[in-house]
Amino acid sequence: MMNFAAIPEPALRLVLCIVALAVFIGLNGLLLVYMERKIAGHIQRRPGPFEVGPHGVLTPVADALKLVGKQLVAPEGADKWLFWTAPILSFMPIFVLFLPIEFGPNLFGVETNLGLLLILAFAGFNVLALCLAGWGSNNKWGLLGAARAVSQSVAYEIPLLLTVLAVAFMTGTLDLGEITAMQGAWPWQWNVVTQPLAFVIFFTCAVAETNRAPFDVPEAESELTAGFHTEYSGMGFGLFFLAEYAEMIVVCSVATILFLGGWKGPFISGPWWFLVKMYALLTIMMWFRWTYPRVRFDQVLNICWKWFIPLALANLLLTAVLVKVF
Amino acid sequence: MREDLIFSYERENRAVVDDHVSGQGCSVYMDRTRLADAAAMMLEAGYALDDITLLDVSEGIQGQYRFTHWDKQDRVTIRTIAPHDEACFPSIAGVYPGADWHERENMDFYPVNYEDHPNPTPLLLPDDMAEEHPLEKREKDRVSYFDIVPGQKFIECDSDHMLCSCALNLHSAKKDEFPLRCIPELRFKQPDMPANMRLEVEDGDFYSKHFETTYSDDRLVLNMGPQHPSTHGVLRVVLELDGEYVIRAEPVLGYIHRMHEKMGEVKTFHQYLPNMGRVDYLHALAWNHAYCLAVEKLADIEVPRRAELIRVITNELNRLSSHLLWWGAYLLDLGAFTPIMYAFEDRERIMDLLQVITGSRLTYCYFVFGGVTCDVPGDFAERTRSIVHTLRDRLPMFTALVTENLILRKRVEDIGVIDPSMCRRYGATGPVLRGAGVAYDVRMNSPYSVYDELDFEIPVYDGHDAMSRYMVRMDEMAESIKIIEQALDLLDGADDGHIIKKAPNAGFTPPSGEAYAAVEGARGKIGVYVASDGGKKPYRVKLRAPGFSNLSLFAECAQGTLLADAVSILGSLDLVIPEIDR
Repeated sequence: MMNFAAIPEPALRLVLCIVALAVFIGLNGLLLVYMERKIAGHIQRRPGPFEVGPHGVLTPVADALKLVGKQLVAPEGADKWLFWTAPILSFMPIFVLFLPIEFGPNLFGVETNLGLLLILAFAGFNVLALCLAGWGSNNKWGLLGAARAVSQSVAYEIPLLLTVLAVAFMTGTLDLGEITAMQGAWPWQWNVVTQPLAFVIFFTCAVAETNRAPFDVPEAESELTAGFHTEYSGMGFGLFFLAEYAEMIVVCSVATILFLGGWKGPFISGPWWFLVKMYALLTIMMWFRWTYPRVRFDQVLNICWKWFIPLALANLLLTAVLVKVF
Repeated sequence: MREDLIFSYERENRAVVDDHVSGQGCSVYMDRTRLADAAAMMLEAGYALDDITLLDVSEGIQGQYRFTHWDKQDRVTIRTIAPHDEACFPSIAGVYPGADWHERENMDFYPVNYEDHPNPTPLLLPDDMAEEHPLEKREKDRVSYFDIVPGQKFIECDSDHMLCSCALNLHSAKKDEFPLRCIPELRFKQPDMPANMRLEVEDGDFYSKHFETTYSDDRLVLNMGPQHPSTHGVLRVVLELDGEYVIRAEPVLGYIHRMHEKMGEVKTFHQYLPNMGRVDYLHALAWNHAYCLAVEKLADIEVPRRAELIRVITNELNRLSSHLLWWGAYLLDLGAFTPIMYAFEDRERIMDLLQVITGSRLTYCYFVFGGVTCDVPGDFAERTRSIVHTLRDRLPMFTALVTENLILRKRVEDIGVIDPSMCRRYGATGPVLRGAGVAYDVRMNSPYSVYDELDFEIPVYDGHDAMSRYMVRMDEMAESIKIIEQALDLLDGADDGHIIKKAPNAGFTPPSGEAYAAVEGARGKIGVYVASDGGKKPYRVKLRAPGFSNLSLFAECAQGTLLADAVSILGSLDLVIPEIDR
């Protein structure tokens, strides 16, 4: 029998954490698929999935099984190496993104005082994955999708960083745990009250960063058939899909921590408040998707360069001045 | 001798008015060498090209160029004949770019050439069928033109007649004779381009191989379709892209070509009725109506009033369902998923209702010559009223949910500018034309059925952009509801249960002659030309599909736009591919 005491405590914690996170991401993927389809259904005045299991709860399981069971096909002229690296590259950093997130009191993977930086740094990986996917597929739609993905993600990272920086200025730390600690339990004690503009910009940029409608131009179905993942089948597509949902969870978690007081909430603070806030944000993202038409590609970039970056900069300057004065 | 007669018509530039007989307006006979001049003068006089029909008769192949004027409410048909041994016409694509496709289509169907055609490649038939011409008649099947249009049926025009004098002036101005070169090799010739400009593709078919990039190497040639979510069927557009900008767009047709016009010649008049539901499956009843009107004109059949009212009501219901589907599908093109579900909810009710009356949900075959196949059920008026009331209540919700959305407005305003002159050159009709600020609607300009008794308006927007076309269609739904309600009121009064005087039996044989009927479909002017030599089967059927002309302007309209806008423009034209390919 293995002697667990011989393993150093941080390593044990990391392993346990990654296992727990894998379960969390997997379950959430299923849950979000179900949630998305149910929300879409109800917005469109139809019941949504209803056949598999009571109220269709097993539909995502059936979906997952179907995806896993499908043959993996790579197009003939594709760069096989890049083609198969891309979905894995898109999914792997997800674990790192979850590590510093504090879901509840003392409920986090790795304690680091640079948690925010870690997330922002590894979130950038996704762009590379989309780029490789589009390029490696040897498909013109994929290429166009990849070009769009890169220019969009790169552009939207700037206002995202600037808003995060504004919060960091106020709190004086990049540690997600400390940022939570500095906010109170009641809504008026949250950062969103002092930084409303930053919250709006952050959330919109988060939607754009995760390539969700109305900013889903890299995979714009009616224009580019499926954009960068046109040629992917089975779990190749499944990994992109899972990564997208996992990233949605990450950005909504970060938004919860930065602006909505993290796991703190009225009456009894705890992880449940974190989940409530996170899922509320996720629901809003889905609501967007099923309500709005798609923004045109050049308009997406215009919104970023002409509105969000100047506004975020102004907000940052104002924050800096106010922090200095008070 | 008869052959001499038709050529003598041409020499004399004779014009014949036979509006009441065949619905063709004024027919002008002229020599084919003057065609290009005549076309230029027609354009100057403000006529739009409807279609180019060929008729294979024993004298030769007659070309019929149909023109419409939007304000003067008249039609002019220029007729010119080319002998079989030198079947060649001058191309008028330089004057009317819309003629390009009509001429290419004719080159597919008939062994004719068009001199100086800019792009003489196959349009509807596959490229390996260049030597086969389905509509060419065998020698023994050909009849004389005067068997179809008996000489005594012509009504000579007096020169006071406004239409005629206009048409006569047309070519009396230029009397120069241009000898026509007739070189069979002109067909399928490629434009002269240096070899290195050709796109070098090993695989790829006729069209991608012959699609030349304009001048630089770093252009991306992209096949949008025939399997693409936003081409609504099997349309293929070959795009030349510079980044995301469309440098050139060339629609490639024929993927769902079924040769309806040939089917018309091998089936009896009756047997051809179900085909009409399959030309444009979204507004099938308008095609039913157009064909029935043409045959009724030909055989001089009267339609009871009750049947006319039922035709109008069902037609407008069908128009509503077509516009609803367009609305949903267009927003799907723009990335909004939800509206199509809302649209389908209403469309479903209309389809359920039409299913009760016609027996089918999509490809209706409900009208017959002289009326409709069966009377409406007793609760029809009540059900229809409740459906249109519900829809009327929902239209403001559609506006609030979608039309006023900022993202949508940014996607459709000032996108795809189509001005009246472009519509005229390409022959665009329907909401595309009304979105360009021209109040032309066949229901209003040359009323058929009982439309002249009904009170409705023609919505016109002159923004020239996709938004105007969008608004025209949204307003048309409200107008259709108005028409339906009025017609329902009239239907109560016309309740003698008379829906057809005498059902024509299977041996139905109309007298020889020709007839042209135009109706307003959801996508524009639907024209059906029927020529009969007195037999059981039509001698020639020509279907003028509005979508065909509307799509032909896409290449010019999409030039220089973004890929996403090209999708938006394509959607705003409201294409139904089976109708375009026929």
